[in-house]
Amino acid sequence: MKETLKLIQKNFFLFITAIIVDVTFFIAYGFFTAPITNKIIEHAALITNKLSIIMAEQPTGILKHLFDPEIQPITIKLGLLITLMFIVTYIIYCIFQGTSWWITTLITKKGYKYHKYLQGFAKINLYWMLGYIIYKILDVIISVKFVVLQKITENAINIEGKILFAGLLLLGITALFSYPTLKAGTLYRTPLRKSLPILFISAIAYIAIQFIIQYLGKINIHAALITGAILIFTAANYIKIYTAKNVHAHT
Amino acid sequence: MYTMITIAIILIALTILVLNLDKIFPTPTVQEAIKQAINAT
Repeated sequence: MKETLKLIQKNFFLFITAIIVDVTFFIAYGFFTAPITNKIIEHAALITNKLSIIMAEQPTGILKHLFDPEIQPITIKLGLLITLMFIVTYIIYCIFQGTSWWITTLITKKGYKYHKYLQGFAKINLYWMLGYIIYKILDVIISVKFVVLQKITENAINIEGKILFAGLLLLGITALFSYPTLKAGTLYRTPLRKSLPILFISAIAYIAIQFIIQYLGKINIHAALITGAILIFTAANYIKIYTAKNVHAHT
Repeated sequence: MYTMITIAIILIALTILVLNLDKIFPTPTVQEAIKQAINAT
């Protein structure tokens, strides 16, 4: 931990640049995805309205009705918009987070060239994106199943949903460990004595920041927002550098 | 240098796409729906 702090002290300008790139990522993500999200909501609302009229007359086969001649064009458009959303998210994530992680590798002296690193980052994120798409599809299926189950038994527990969330968490951790080396299996090749402290520090930082934001939020909401943002971005970049320094650089 | 130019082009293309989303995926607004209903009667 001390070594990471020393690295930050030595490369303070790069550390601040990485934070600025992270902040820019969130602004860009909002700018590029908000109009698409609005369009998805508009199309989903249109489909719901039309479906409710049709379902009042024929209350079975909801999926089949999505491809009725009057709804089909909107369903196709909705599918295209969701695909566009995933593509835009992927591009923005690769550009900004790729740059931020490249700066982290500069701080830890990994010696990647910028374009080579971005290429590797984009390639490895194809796996994680695919994993995330599978998660989203399973999430919708499990949520719908749980709503139906709740109508039968009120005290039903969403165990499948919890298992799926654990899977998402594992996917996130695997991705985090893969970025410094650009190898998908880095998490499973890093010894536990090195990987566990990274997860422990991440969890502690998350809990501590949540506590500080909640505590400050009771006193002054603006102070909580500003302090929270500064702490989150600083902690996130500290964890990135700590991870990059400690992952197993296998060949 | 080429990487930065490629990124800039991608971002400009995405901006153009997002700003023209209404033309690519038009949805009837409330006003249009009202107009359609008036025309129908």
